[in-house]
Amino acid sequence: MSWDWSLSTQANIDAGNAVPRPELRAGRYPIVLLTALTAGILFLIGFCFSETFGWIYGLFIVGFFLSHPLVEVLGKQAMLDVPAIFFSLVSVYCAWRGIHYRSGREAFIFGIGGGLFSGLAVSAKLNAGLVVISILTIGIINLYLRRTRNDILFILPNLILPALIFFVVNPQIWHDLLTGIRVMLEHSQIIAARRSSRPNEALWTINDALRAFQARVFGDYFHLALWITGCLLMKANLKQNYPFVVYGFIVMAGVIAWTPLNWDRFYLPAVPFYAIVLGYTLGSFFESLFVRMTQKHAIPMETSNPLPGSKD
Amino acid sequence: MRLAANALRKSAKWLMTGMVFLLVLILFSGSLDSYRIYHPDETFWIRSGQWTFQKMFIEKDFSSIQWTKTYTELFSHFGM
Repeated sequence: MSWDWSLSTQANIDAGNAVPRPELRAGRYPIVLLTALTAGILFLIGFCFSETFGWIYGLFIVGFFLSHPLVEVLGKQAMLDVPAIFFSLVSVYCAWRGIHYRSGREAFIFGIGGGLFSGLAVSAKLNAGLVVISILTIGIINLYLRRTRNDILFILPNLILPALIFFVVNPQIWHDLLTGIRVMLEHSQIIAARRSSRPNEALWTINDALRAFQARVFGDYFHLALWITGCLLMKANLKQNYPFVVYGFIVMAGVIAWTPLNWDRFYLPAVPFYAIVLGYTLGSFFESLFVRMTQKHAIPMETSNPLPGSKD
Repeated sequence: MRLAANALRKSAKWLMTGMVFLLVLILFSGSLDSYRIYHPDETFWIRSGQWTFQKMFIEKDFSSIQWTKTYTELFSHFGM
């Protein structure tokens, strides 16, 4: 079932090394659907930064996400990378809503959403375990900052649901949980062990990992500089934005630390946060520009329309 | 008045989200049967997905030991 590089595409299909075109199209369609849903959720995340100008933030975030070279390719391929980031982003969005609750009921419902979707994310791909860690960290920070009953209601489902979902959707681990998990982890070690046979793609040191990360995620130094500017802007409103910042930094650190080979799909989990920060940078610039322009052209109320009977 | 404005803003937000979704769906749906961006793992995921669907929804076979045995026989070479 492995692709034979010495054969033509048609010969590979005939030999059963690759699925025929109609099956390939059918297999890719659900991924495209999830890519579109991912764009939708990223657009909604724009409204977490500004209720009025959220659409500007959203459009920039979606634009940066879709124009990223990794998304252009992986957004169509029939693999589990896009499902993992879609579930991760829904989970982070739920976490943001869950800590900006209006009632205990809302905190609990979004807590369930966060736990459910982070469980689905880690079930789709093991490296999405970073999202489970992120959501729990967000819950703990929230609990530390506010210490109310509602904050416990948010974190509780996130402690139970991810593990439960992971267990339910993996029947092969039902009879022997520990062996099942060991086999999954061994598979990751098999991938890591391939570094010796692929010296050009192997990442041995932290320097190799950082260089590969910068090239795969940021592409050039201009985008890196823009991203750093965005992080500094987000820091100014950290109390509002910290769920995204926590998620982004945990995922990026995890990708840098644990990626054994310089393969494109290992870097996809870092792309949403890259797009969110860049979208935030341009979104906040245009928002302040727009606000300044409207203030400049606004006619002061007291001079243009004096109230009857007023001294002016 | 304020309630109506909020409701309108909320509807506009969901309408724009829907439009973004549809636009991306259309943009990404082109030439899905092309092997130009093909990755050899795609065949594995499609085949194992078909197998999982067959076991879960058609045969309704949830025998964990059997799952592990058959899955290993069919797909254990993945990543080797």
